[in-house]
Amino acid sequence: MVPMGYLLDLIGSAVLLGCTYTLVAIGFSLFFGVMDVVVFCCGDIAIFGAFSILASYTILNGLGVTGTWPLLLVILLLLLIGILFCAVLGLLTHRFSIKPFEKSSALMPLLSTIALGTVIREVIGLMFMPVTNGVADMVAGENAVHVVSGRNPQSFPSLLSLGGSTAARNIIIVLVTVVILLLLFLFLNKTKTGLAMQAISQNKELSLMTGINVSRSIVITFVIGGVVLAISGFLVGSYQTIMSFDNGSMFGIKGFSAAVVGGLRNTWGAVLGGMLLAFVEVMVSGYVPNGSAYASILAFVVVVIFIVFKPEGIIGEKTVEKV
Amino acid sequence: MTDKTGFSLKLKSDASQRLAVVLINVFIFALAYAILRAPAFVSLAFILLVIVGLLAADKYRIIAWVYDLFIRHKKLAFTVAFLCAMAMPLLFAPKSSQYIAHIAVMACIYSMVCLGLNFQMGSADMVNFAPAAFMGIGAYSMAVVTVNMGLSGWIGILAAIFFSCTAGLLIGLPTLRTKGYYLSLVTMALQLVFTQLIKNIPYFGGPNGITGVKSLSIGDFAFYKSYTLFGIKLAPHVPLFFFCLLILIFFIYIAMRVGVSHYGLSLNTIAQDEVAANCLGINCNRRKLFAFIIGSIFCGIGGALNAGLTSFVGPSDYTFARSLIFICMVILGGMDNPIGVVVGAFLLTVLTEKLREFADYAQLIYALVLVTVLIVRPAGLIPKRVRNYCALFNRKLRQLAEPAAPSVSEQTFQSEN
Amino acid sequence: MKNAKWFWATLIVLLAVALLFTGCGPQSGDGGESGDGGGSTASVVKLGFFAPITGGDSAEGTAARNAFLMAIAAANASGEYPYTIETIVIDDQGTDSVAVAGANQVVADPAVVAASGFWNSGPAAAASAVFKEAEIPLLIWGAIRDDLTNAGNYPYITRSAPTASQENSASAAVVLDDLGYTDWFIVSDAGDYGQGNLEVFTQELSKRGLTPLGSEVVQEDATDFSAVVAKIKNSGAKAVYCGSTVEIASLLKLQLYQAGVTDILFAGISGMKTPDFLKIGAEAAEGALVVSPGVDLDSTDAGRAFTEAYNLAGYSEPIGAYTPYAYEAALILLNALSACGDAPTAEAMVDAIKDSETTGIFGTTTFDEIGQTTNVATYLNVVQDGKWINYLNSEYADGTRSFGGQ
Repeated sequence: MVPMGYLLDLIGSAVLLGCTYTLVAIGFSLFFGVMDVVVFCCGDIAIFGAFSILASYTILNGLGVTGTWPLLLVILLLLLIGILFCAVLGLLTHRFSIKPFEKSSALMPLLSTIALGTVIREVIGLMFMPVTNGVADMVAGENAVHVVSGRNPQSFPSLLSLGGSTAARNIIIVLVTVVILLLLFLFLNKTKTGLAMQAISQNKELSLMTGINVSRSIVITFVIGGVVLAISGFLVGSYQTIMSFDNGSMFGIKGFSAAVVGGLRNTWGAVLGGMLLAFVEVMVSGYVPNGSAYASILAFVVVVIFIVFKPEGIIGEKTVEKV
Repeated sequence: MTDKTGFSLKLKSDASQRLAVVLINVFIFALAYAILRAPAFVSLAFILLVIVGLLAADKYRIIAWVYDLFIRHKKLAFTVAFLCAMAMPLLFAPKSSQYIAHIAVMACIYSMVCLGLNFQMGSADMVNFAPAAFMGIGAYSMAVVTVNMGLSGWIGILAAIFFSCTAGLLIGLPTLRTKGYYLSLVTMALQLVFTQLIKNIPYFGGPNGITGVKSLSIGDFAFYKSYTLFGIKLAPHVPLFFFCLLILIFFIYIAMRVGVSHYGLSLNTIAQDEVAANCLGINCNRRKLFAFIIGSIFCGIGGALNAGLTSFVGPSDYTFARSLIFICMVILGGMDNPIGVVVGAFLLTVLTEKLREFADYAQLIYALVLVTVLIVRPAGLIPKRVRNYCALFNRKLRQLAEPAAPSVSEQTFQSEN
Repeated sequence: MKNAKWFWATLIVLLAVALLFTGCGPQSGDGGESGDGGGSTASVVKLGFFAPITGGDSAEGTAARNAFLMAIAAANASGEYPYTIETIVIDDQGTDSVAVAGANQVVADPAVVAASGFWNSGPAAAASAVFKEAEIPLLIWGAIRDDLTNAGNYPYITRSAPTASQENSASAAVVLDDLGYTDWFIVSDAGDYGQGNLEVFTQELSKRGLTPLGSEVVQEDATDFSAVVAKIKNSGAKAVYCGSTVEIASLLKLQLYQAGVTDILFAGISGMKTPDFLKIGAEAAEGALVVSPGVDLDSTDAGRAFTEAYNLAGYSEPIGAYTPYAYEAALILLNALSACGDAPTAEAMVDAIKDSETTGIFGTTTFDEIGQTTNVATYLNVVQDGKWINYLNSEYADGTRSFGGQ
């Protein structure tokens, strides 16, 4: 009765939504894998990246750069700025929310990163407008493009929609997600630094003894996490087109849920978890009458079921705690 | 008084000790009164002074000294504190103090919720992200019973206890299988599901909430109603304020008793190391369930009283953001210390109300407070007391040596823990 | 025992300081206990004003506050009143408990004779109880849920803004009767605003013997509506009604556009008529039709004068759909104040407001037997080339352009 095209539409939406969840979830599993802590502000870091890209774009636009320079160069430049911001933010997260709690209960960094996430979110909401407008005035003078309010929704530049086509944009989003996953996989499994990071996640003391520079690896983890989250922010922004300062909390919760469902330590688990969550949400919305109201409730129910009955996730080894 | 660097003063005579107890008690309540009453910036300055003062007092071991003094004269300390607390509603009774009375009642209710949360977060180190949801369950029980069914508010309170208890049990059960992050995520999911579910169920008024919740009443004497006494029009909060204070004092008492009991000790053990606790023969499952159930009952009663206070329940009051505020209160005050938790709840409630004009920055301030407290002083303003079994043991020995000593009773030992 | 002396001295000083502040508390700020009698010699009369000045609805709330204060400042400057009118502005943050605490703050002040407030219906309902209990009149300027004004709350609670049903029936008359759309799909959010609109618009449809092809309730923080878009596409609807705020409406319109569902009417409600809607781009926003309360400010002299005065005052927030209503509310309260003579009391104000007859921007406002305004005016706006313009002046009305789905 329901046409095939409809199902395909839904699958397409679910894959795209799954990509956005996955990108944030990778951040969670990367940090958890190495540090054994949940860095809850991943979603906010990603959205901060998106907003810094948006701010830079606004300023570049005022300078008249965006029209004259080749599009690819502009995108790369913007990404570079976003990556810079997110990497710095990642380091700050480590300094203020992870490092002070190395010796205390594991819940301290969780609480601290939740609070830090709120700080990031509120700083975007409160500071975005003054900062962008101030800098834009300084750099672009009369041509400055002004942003209304930091808390109001902002429109993200549609750089990926080549010729206004969303199909191209969607393909790019999926492709970039896959490429990032592959690169991350290769990095973690084929490079010395990556292997060192995995070793730390297995056993910190032993890694120290075998001569791995643990603190350097941790810093690298946060920088890489920042890079991944900046790119996620860019893709999420391009996908949504309209961004709000508090989108980070929703992506954070969904990303964390995806990472848990997939298995917190595993990068591929993040993909599976993200896709599962997105499929549950989209299919419930699509096939149940008035299902949107219950879609995210059901997604959380799935998460709870996983935590209670299969806490190690879809991919993940069961561990038994020993004295 | 073993630490030589700290504040060590020996008040020799019994009378001077008693005078000190009375004066310190009056001082604490006068300070609370001044913070409530003073205009925004004076109040803010007071709050900052209190925070700095508490930190200094802890550094020089004055808090411990006061604790010891109060415990030695427990009956007197309690009586004076009780009288001072009961004087608060009278001081805020006139109609013109209605707003301050409202803040004070809110602080009482939030303190109850924070005490509930403290069982899980403070004692057992299980961060529950859903205190607002438990509070909401209590509030909605009250609303449904009094509005949808038209029954008395007392039945509403009973329903609040029943449903929050059931919810605590239901959410406590998965905690037997999970811990740490997973437990936190379960409670987080519960909090989010609660808000969304409430919005989608028409019986609970959906997003509109339920209007016209009745507060408690005894016969014709309603707890939230403006009375005129000796020609002075009173704030409608006065009877409810008395009631909330009584409940709060009762809750603090329970929390302290649990804290010094075997239950409190075993919850602390579970927080330290669950495997070890199991090996010591502690029934972890039972103790964890206990923490969840008693905690959610506290939250539920707080919620029911809150519904009576605002005469309205709606989903916007019982959200994830509100839960974070409760967590912030507990951490600021001092985890696993009932007095600290109440102080934290009081300070943050008043701060929020006094800084109303800066509401734009409220979330930012909360988050910064949380980050700072976690880094600088994770134990909170009034850290939990170290269990001192040595002193207990020595006293017991001394008591055995001189069996006629009248001043020390069995009860003192239990509180000394 | 030098130590002990110091201890007692410090303790007594601390206690004295605390008691001192306790003692002088009542004089400083929160309204003294002596002023209980009300206003026999009132040189200051206070009004309360509630709006969401921070939080998600701050744009609308702040603009409304500006307009309200503008009207009061003008009245004070005119010298018509033998006392100074002060406004206690309360930020309700769109949250119930915050609104109730604020209401307590307002009613505790003995100089307060009336209040106006609320953009969100939840806080309005919650605070109404406090005002009713304190017997101080509250005039609602922006919250539109139908049951806020009712026989039980009359005469303390009155409202000068149209209700959700009044607003929707105007829009329904155009899109259902004039334009003749029959195949509807309804999208609303799970908040009280969305649910109210969903209910009322469904009623409008069933009055005309229609049933929607589908309806979908989305979460307020949702950002991805692709499943809803697919559903709309699949349902064959010719028109979409979006009963929600700008955050959701703009994303839905954008995602419909991106999915190629352009041959469809997109009709909505006043909450989405803000400049933020246009951020999705001129092409994506084109053709969105919304109903706004009141009359088009540019179409009347009073409206133009208001816009001019507001812009002259140099506020940074643009005029929102309900900003003129906050101004009107101030005018109604001022009118009632003049009816109460030199010493207005809350008691007198209750009657003065319910019997008032005020001519403002939107014509003459009077209240019916449950305190709801009888002056209901609405007009339609449409997005044309990236701008909101009055539907009657648009190329859609004269047939140059047409909505999709016809």
